[in-house]
Amino acid sequence: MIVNAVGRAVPAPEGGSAGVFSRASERAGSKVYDSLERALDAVGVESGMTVSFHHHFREGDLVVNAVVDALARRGVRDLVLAPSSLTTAHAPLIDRVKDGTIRSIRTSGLRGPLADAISAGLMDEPVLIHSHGGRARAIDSGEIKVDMAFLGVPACDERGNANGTAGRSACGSLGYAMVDARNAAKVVLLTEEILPYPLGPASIRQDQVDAIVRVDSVGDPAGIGKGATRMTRDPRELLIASSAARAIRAAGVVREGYSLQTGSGGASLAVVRFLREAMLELGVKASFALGGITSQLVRLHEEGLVGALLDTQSFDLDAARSLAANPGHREIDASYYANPARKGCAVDALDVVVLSAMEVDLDLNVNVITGSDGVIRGASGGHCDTAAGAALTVVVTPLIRGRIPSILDRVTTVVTPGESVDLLVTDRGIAVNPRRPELRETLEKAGLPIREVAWLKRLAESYTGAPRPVEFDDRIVGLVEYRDGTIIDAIRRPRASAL
Amino acid sequence: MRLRRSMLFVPGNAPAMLRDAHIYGPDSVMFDLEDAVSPREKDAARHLVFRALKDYDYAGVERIVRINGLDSPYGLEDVQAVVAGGADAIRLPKTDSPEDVLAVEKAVEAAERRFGRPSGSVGLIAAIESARGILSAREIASSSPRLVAIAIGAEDFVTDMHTTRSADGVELLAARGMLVMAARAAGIMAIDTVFTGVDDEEGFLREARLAKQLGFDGKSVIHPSQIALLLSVYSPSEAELVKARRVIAAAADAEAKGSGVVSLDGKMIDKPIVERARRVLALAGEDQP
Amino acid sequence: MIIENEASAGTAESGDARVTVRPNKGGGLSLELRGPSATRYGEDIKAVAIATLSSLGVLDADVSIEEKGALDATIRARLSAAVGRAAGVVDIPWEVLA
Repeated sequence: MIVNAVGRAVPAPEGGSAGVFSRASERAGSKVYDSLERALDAVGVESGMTVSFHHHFREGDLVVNAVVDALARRGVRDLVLAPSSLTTAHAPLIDRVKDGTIRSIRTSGLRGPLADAISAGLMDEPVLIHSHGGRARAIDSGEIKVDMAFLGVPACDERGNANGTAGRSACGSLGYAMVDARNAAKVVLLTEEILPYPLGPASIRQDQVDAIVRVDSVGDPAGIGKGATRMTRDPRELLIASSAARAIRAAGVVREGYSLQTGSGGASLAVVRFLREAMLELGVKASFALGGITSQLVRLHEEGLVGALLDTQSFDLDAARSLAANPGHREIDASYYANPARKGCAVDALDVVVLSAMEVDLDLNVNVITGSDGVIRGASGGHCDTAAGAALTVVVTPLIRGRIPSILDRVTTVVTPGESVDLLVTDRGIAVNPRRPELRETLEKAGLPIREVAWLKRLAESYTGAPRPVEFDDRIVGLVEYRDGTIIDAIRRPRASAL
Repeated sequence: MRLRRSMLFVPGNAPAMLRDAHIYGPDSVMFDLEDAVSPREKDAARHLVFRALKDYDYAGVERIVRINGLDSPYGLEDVQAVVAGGADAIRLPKTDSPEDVLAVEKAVEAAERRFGRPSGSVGLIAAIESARGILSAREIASSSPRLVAIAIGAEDFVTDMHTTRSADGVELLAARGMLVMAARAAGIMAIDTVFTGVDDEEGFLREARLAKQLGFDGKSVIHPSQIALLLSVYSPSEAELVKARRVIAAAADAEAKGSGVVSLDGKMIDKPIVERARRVLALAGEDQP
Repeated sequence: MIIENEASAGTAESGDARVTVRPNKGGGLSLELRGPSATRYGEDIKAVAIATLSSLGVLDADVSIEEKGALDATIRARLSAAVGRAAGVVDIPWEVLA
C-alpha cells in the first residue's frame, strides 16, 4: 500500500510511480504544424519505413508527390510505398525510384508514365498489385505494417477529427484512408482547412492522429471529380448495358430487397439506368448499393429505389454531397467493404455486381491491369473481391476495342479468376459460365442471345484477325495478389522491341 | 415478307459505325453517302461503304445505301461502288419525278451488267422531299419494278413548303397521306421521315404512332436507341396476336373444308379482317399457314 | 495507277486510319506503319496494304499509314481512296478491289 497524490491508500503498482497523475492531455492545437517539414520532425521519419496514402483525390492527388519529395529531401531512402492506388498524377515518383527514395510499391492501381516505367523494368522489386479487400486484409492483419500514413483530407479540426465531406475539396467517402488511419503507427493529416472542434462525423478520429499540417491544396479539383458522372451516349455501351440488365432481370435478381454494385465507367455505369427501369416496371426496390457511388446511384437512392448507399469511394461531387446530406448514404471503410479475412464483409451480401474488363479468356478469367501490349495500365480495385462475393457476377465488355479483340485464349494477366465470373455480356452476345448450366437455361428461355465464349472469340477474330502474342522477357515487374494474399499471376516485362 | 419498320442511317465516312450497325436490331441499315458526308469526303466514304458491303457480315439485315443525286458529280460513281459492293437496295434522295427514278434505274442496270450481278437484283427506294415530288408520288411509286418503297424526307419538304416541323406534324399530314396512298396503290412500302430529337423519346413515339396509324410500314432513324421504340410501336399486343392467330386458323379451317365463308365465334369474318390478321402475324415474325 | 501527287485519306479517329500516298517514281513500294495495333497486327496490315496496291496496279509509291485501331476493310478503303486521289483517278476499277 502506498498513499497517492490525493491522499488515498491504494495498492502499490508494480514498478510504477503512484505520486503523480498524468497531466499530459493534448492541448488544443498541439498537433498542428505549420509545415510538412515540422510535422516530419515531430513524428520522426526513417529509411526503410512503410508509408501509406489514399487515392480519394484520384487524378487530382497532390499529397503523394509532395510527401515523398519531402522525405527525399531529408535523405530518407528505401521507402515501401503502400498507397491505395496510383494514377497518372504520380509520374514524378519515377525520379524518386531512380534516386533510391522508393524501394518497393504495393498498390491496387497503377497508370500513366509511372506504370509505363515500371513495366519497362524501373524497379528492382516487382510492384505488388492487390485488391481493395486484399489491401484492407493485409493492413488490418499486420501483413503490411504501415509505419506512417500520410492522409490528405479536405478538412479536419485541430485535434484530428476529419471527414471527406466538409471543405472546398470535398471528395466524399474516406473509405480507404480509414483502414490506414486505424492501423498505422503514426498518422499525419494534410488538410486544406482546419474547422472548429468537434468536426463530425469523424471518418478519421482524433485518437488516431499524430500530426496535422495545413497545406494550400491537397488536390486539383478538376482531377478529384466532376459534378456528376456522365451517362454514356455511346450506342454500343448502351446496347451492352441493356443486355446486361435484361440478363440480370431474367436471372431473377431484380426482386424486392436485392443489392447491387456497378462500376463507374461506360457500359457498367449505364446498367444502372436500365435496372432503374426494370425496378420501376416490377415495382421493387433494392436494399443497398455498394462500392463506388455515382450520381446515378444517388438519384436512385433519392427516388427511394435503393435503400442504403454503402460508399467506399464517391466517384463524383453529387455523391460527395449526398454523403453529407442523406442519412441512408453511409461511408464504409475498405475492410467493411471487402476484407475477406475478417468476420464479414459487404461484398458477400451482394446479389449482383457488374464489372468491366480489358480482356477475358476462354476460362472467363479477367484482366483489368495490363493493356493489350502487356504494359500495366489499370487497377485491380474491388474487381476480384466483388466477383467472389456477389451471387451473380456480370462482366461487360465490347467484343473489340479499336482492332484489339477483348476475348482471348488466355488473358495477358489474371486479376479475377473465371470461376468467380457467371456472365460475360458483350455487344454480340452473352456467355454463361459452364458451371452455371441452370443459369444458362433460364437466360435461353428468356430469349437472350447465349453464345459460347469460344464462339464470341471467333467472331471477334473474324473482324480483327488473330493477334500476334505479346512477347515478354523473363524479368518480373509485377505480382498480382488475389484477395486472400495468394499470388494469382506475375506481370513480365514486354520485350523492348514490342514497345 | 421483309419488314422495314426501322431503317438505321449510318454515316458513310465513319468506319467504326459501319462495321456492325446491324447489332442494334434494325430491319435495314442505310449507309449514307449523301447529307452525312461532306463534298470533300464523298470519294473516301464511297470506298469505305464499298468495303463494308464487301467485307462485313450483316447477318441478313437489309443493306441500303443512300447515294447522291445523279445531278451531282458523285451520283453515278456512287451507283458503281454500291452495285459492285453488293448492296440490296439504293435510296435515291430528292426524287421529284418518275424520270429521276428511271435515270437511276438505267445506271443501276448498266452497273449490274458491269459487275456481273443478276439484272434487277438491286432494289430502289425513292425518297420524296418536295411539293413537286409529293404531287408526283403516284407516278414515282409505279415508275420502276425495282422500287420496294417510297419514303418522305421531311426537312427538305417543309422548307419547300415555306413552313417548319411542329410537334403534331400537321404540316406533313397531307404529304404523308398522299405518300402512303401512292405506295399502297403501287403495292410497295411507305417509309416515314427521321425524327431528329434523339433524346425526346415521347416526341419520337408520338410521331411513330401517327405514322403507323396513317399506314406507314416503318421509319428511318438516326440513332440506335430509336429502334427499340419503333419495335414497341409496331409490335402487336398479346391480345391482337391471339385474335389474329384465331382468325388465321379459322380461315385455314374454312379453306380446308372448301368453304368460302370464314366464321369465328359465330360471326362471319370478312376478307379484310383476314388480311389484317396476316399483317399482325407478319409484324410479330410468326409463320403463317 | 501512277501516283502523280501526294494525297491522304482517312482520319485520326478511333477505328480509322490516315493513309498518305506519295510519288516514288521507279523506287518501288515503300511502306511505313504506325499505330496502336502495329505490334500485334503490323504484318497483317502491311500484307493487306501491299495486296491493295498491287490490285490497283500501283508499282511505285511511298505509303505511310497511321492507324488508330483500323480493321483491314478500313485500311484497304483508306488506301484505295488515297491512291485514287494521288493518281487523279475518278472512275475507280471496283472490280479489281473485290
